[in-house]
Amino acid sequence: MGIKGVLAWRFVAKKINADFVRHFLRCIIEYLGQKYSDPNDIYRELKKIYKYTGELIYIRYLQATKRPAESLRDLVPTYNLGFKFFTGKPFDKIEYKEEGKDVYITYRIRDCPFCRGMEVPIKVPFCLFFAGVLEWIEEQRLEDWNAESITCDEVKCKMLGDDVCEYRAHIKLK
Amino acid sequence: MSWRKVDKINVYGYTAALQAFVTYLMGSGLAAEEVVSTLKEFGRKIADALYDEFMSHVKVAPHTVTDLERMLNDFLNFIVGQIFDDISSERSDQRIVVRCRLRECKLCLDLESPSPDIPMCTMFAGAVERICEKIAKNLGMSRAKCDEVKCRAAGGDACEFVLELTP
Repeated sequence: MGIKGVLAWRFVAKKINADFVRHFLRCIIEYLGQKYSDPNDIYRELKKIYKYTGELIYIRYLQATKRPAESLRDLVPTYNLGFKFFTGKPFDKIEYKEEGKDVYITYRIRDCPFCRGMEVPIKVPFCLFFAGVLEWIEEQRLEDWNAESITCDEVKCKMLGDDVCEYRAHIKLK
Repeated sequence: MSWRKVDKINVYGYTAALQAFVTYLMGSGLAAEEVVSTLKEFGRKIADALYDEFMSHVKVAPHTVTDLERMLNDFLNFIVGQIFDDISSERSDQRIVVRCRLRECKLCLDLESPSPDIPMCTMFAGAVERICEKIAKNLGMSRAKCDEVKCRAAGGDACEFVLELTP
């Protein structure tokens, strides 16, 4: 992470107790767990909430920065900077892969700030927050990317026993 | 207790998720009072999770109203690194009432509540209620109730919390 991310986190970002936020996210999952028994339904509803979160973050804060990614490859540093600005930590590893009309970007972190120290009995990816935010923001740019669709999911989560938390964005080009 | 030592995250992510969740609840058909009671319950659960860590910073549970006011400031500091602009208390044999006001509240920073009946810092009120329930006996009381009675995000000029302890 460059100096820009470090300075933004230290001097620009207004902060809140991370445990307060992590337990809020846990409460949301537990609330949905009372409404739905199938983890796939819980995942779908969580995604809805976090995509709307992405819309609010974009409208309130990111639009004003006027520094959107200029190419698909830019989604690597852009979201690394964004993640650092929102959590204080950059990703450990980001992979960019093109396979014909499919582009995959994988963001990986070991000491995930969303689920650090948490326990939830419901088996759904806990840190879906980032995936929902990225998916909503990049869905607004389908034309810019000449893409048919963009999805982002949390494909590994330490809360589910994986060794890292991992998000995979899939951009399907036209 | 030092705010500098608290593990932190950007408040904008929290406030956006809070607004998204409240909007989701309303879209699911919940009335404003049901949304408020859901947020209050979340706050109480959060307090249960954070109680031991917070009280280890406070060291001694409050035994006087002055101690209680100090603890409420410590708790706000523990959550967002702020202290209240005004705190006032009244004590009688039957109850203790504490009013806390905060003009530039980070818990609802830049938020606009979807309903004037939904104070957006209600989770914090729920957390205060649960913590004070746990320490009430030190003050000769047994029950605690805390509500956010004004919220900047819901049109108030400040965020205001009223805590009431009763026997």
